[in-house]
Amino acid sequence: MTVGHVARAIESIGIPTVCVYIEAFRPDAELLKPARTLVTPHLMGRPLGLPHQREQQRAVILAALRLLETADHAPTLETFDVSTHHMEGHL
Amino acid sequence: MVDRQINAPDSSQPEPLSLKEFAASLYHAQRADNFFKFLKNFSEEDLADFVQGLLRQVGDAIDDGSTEALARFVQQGQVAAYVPTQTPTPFRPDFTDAPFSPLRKPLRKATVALFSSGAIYHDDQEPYYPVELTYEQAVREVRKATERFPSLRVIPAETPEARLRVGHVAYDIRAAQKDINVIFPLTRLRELAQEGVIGALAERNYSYHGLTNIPRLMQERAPQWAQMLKDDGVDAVFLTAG
Repeated sequence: MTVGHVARAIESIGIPTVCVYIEAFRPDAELLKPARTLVTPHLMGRPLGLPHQREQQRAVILAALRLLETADHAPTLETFDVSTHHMEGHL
Repeated sequence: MVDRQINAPDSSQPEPLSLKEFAASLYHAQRADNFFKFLKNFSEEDLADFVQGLLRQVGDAIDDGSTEALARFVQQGQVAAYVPTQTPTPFRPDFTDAPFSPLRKPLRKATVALFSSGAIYHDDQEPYYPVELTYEQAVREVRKATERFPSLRVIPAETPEARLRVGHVAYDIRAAQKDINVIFPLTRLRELAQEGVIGALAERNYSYHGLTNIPRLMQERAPQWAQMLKDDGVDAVFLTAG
């Protein structure tokens, strides 16, 4: 989960970031502390969900983008809540 | 007669394979399977419980015509296997600080770049794994990936999905091969730009192979890449990891 290192460097130069991590790598995000992280309950290799689940992918992206506007401190780590999003019958 | 033949000693028979040995063979070894390599982390008892549960879930998925519970079962197995392994190391320090930059304009006016450690590349670019190896060999010899210096691929905003490839050797890439948006949502972000949710998708988007030489990444590449994004003039960066 080296992306946390990249996010920290980008943030340090003055550009806001948001990372999408899967639940299995939540501790990595908690240790590296990228500024904003959305944790999803998805499988490895599928952080935005399953293939061809357009609405699910959009829901994850919108939740992550929202953190760019709402987070007022770092680290901000939020868990993607599947129950509040249309999941098209899948994880 | 038949029974005697079956029971006769046969030196050509392979040694019995334990469940633990089978699980270990999935982890970048002879049966390399990045979807289920996490089974290597389980104790023998946990492994037996997982396999039994998996078979039950497969049966239910067939009967019910839904893979939802099966997917959740496997996902929870991944969480149980990986979470205990993530302790502080020199490559994964427990940082005491957390750099923070605020978004300086509304999202609807912001240019957002996509940046992924998922090893995405354009079909006219070099793949990430060692050139002397096939992808299948690289999956089995994963150590060679961690020794390589991180290198970046530029993915233009208008790249058609059909031109994108994925070559990560440490996560299961089959979903990304079916729909690259599961990890590199270039199309989704283009749509959101067209809808006015974000101001624009950056002209230049990026990917690298996340399994890489971490000291070089931390000390050299990440700061260089950050400067590059600043030179690109992006307002925010959306990062994904496998």
